[in-house]
Amino acid sequence: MSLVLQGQVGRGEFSREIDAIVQQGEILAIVGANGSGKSTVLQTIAGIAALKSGRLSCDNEVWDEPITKIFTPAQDRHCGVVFQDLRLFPHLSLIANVAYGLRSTEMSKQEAHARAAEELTLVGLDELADRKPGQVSGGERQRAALARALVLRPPVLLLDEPFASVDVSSRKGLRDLLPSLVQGYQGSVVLVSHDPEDVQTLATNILTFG
Amino acid sequence: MTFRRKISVVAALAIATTAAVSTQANAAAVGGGGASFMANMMDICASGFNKNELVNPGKADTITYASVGSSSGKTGFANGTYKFGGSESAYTSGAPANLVYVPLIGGSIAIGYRVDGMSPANAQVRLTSETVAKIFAGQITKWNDPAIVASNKASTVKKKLTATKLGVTVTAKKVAANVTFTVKMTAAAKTKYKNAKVTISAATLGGATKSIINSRYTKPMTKTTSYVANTTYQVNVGKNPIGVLAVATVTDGVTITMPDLAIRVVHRSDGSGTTNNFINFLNKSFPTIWTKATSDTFSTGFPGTVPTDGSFQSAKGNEGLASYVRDNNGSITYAELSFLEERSVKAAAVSNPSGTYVSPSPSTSASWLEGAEVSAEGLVTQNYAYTASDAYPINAVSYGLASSAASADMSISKRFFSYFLNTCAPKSAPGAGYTPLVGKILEKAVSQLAKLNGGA
Amino acid sequence: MIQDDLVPQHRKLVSSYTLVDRIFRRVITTGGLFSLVILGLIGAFLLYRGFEIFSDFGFSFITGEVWNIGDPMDTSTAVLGIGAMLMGSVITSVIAILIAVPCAIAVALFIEFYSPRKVRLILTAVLDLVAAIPSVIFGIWGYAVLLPIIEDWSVPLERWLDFIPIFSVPSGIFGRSPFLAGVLLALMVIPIVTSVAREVYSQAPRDLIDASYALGGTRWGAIRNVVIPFGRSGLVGGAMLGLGRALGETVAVYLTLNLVFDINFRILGSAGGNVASLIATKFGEATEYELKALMAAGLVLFLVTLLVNFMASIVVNRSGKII
Repeated sequence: MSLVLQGQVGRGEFSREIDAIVQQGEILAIVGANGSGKSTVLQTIAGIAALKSGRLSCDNEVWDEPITKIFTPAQDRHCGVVFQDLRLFPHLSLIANVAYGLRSTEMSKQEAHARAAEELTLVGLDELADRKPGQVSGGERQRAALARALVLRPPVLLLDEPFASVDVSSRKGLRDLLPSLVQGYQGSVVLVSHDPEDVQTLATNILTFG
Repeated sequence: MTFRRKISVVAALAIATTAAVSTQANAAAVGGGGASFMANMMDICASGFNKNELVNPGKADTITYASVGSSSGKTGFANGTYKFGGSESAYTSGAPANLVYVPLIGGSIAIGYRVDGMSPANAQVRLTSETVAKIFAGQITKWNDPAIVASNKASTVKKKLTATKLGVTVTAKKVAANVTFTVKMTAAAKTKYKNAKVTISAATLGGATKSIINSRYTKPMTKTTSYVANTTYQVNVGKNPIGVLAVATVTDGVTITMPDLAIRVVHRSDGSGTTNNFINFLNKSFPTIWTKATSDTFSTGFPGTVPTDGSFQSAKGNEGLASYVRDNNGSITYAELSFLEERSVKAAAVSNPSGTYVSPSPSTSASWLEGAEVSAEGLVTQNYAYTASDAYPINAVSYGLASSAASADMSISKRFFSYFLNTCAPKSAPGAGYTPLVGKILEKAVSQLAKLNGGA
Repeated sequence: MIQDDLVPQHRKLVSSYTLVDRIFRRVITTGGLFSLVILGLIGAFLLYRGFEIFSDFGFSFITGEVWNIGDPMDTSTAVLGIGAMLMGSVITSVIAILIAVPCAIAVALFIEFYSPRKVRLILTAVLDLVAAIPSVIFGIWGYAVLLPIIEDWSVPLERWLDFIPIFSVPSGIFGRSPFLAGVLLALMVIPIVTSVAREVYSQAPRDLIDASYALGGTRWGAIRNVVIPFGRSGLVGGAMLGLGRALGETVAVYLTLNLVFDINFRILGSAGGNVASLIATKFGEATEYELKALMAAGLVLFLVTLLVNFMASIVVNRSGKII
């Protein structure tokens, strides 16, 4: 799976140039100051924001190209996203959150929940499966968000500040967990972070926004 | 100087305008309201008055009438909302001071119905007044009830030229356009009935009865009368019937096949003088079925509780009742004849105290009102046992509600009432389905009218 | 004394408004209070005029189902109760809400999430227009057009469902039924419920909707999992606003319902009631005493409507939180 992004991203007045390629199995880290457009890049890849100009493609499939008016909607890109603010559904239990993406693929509820339960076990949340996001700690929420993205086995995994909302002690555990999760994973990863330590331990390529 | 002159011209103009306005101010719009029963007649006479140069010089005054029901009319007249009122029922409480009732118009309370699927489809349904009482009391609930079926069977009187009974022999013979009757008695009968009168009365379908012989028997009697089709002759000696003769076969009524259809009784939702007169008729004629004293409110005069399963429907005004029946199969109601005619709703023939089925019409209603009395205060009391055979038995008289105290509005109302009674009603009422007042009721109405507006 | 000096005193914060500010503040305060005063005065007036009825009949005025003024000269013969009418108000309004809310949800979702911009503008304008149609027009239309249609629907409904008591009609007479009034009221309250639903749905959290899309969720998935759960409390409020309007509706019900003083739950049968149309029917011809009873009935309706609207505004204010 290789992701090619060339052009201008941005929303409203804001825009910035980007030229990046992520090959299969690579982890691209984007670092930079707040407001430099890191998250916008992820949103553009996910399909929540549109390119201003240029082209975004995954393998041979064009996802976004303003000049030809090609735009693949978010739900057809099958990206796995961990948002900076997580965006877990507050009224659903953790397992329902994780199963959400699978249910959208018309998988039966039983199967989706079985897969979600496996994924929760991998991130160590199997005992909290029936709690709601408001009833668990920040680190646990973060792991649930990871599980929710990974359970889809997405061709592209997008991580936006995956450790930002976690206290220092949990961060260590998560940082150890992530490579093991990503190890068996075949897709491309884009990671946004402002923490050099994250970047060094995980990234294969680094892109710095000034 | 031009400036001053201009001012004076303007002032003159202003005065002229004021003057014009002030003559206009003498003209008035007088709004009355009340009974819907007479609303059609009120509309005719109000527009007649408003356009009539003779009674309304310069067409300056305008009469309007709101058809809101008698109860609202009485309330509205008492509190001044209406300058005059209209009602078919008297005040039971809250009557205003100086009240004068002026009888204005009569009318029949027709029994309107719609029954799809009866055959023949256009036949007029006949109902005995007892059946009417039972239907409106909720005791008869189906159109094919035996009581309704029974009154809608054709009855035939075969040609019969001779009747002999109790030693009395009566013969009828038709010669050209005349019928000759001969009465003979045996000697024994002659002795026995020497003080009794022999009577022969002719009854023509849809017409009045007529006496042909009414005298004591001393020797064989012969009497010739002109032939009228569809006539039967009832012969009595004293109180003993001898027989019914007919010079040709006479068929009365039509046999109607009734569908198995639920009856929907439609009654007034508002307080109504029509209801008051209708329930009064039922209560006075059939006190065992309609046990309560009459009322403007249907549910108050109703014996027991008005059925709540939808078989009784309420609607506002004579207009609402007639419209409901027009639109709903199986329904039956009571309303002034004109409202049914307007909407092509059929009216039943109802049996009167003499046992004859009579259709509502201005003439049959007038015949009934001949039996009515009028009280000192102008209120009409009907005689519910009145036996004229051509009288339609369910009727009401509408009163104008007015005041003996003088006022500008009352002076106009008085002129309008006078026009209504003397000009409009005699000319327009029969064509519109109303019954103009005559005889002692009219005399009383005129004397009541004189009291209005301080007698001026 | 020295101690006192050492303790720091709160500095007085003097905020002085300009004259214009002060006048403006007066004006809007007066305006705001004025509406409250009017509301209070209406309540007080109704209570004053109707008090005698409450003291004569007590609670049976609310539960009784007979309305008979008896002898107009003797008030002790009167039996007055609005139970049947009150129950009728509730039944017709509940039918209205049960029909209106699903319709309003569908319309609001379509407008907010599916319709192209042009269609949305037209639909919004049409809904506003419907809201502005006078209720007498609804009433006449309901009587002339809707009545035969509902009558036709009622017959099969009764045939299939008459084992459920509310659908059985022993007399076999339909038309002018609470169901008809309910459907008519539903049409009348759909605009207001829709407009609240649209407002609520447009405030559904955008980031969660995006998250839903990003996880492969469909538009329907986003609506079902984010928009509807987040809008639920707001919608309940909207439904209650609609309920408030339906409870107080007079003319449309007056023109379509067969007013019958009897508490029954047979919604397809041609018998029902509604407090507001009771007042409309009796007001013009009422005796002194009956008038007081109508005022008392008005007070009951006023309080019920006030309560429903009050609860609605509480719920609407809580909207956005998940209930």
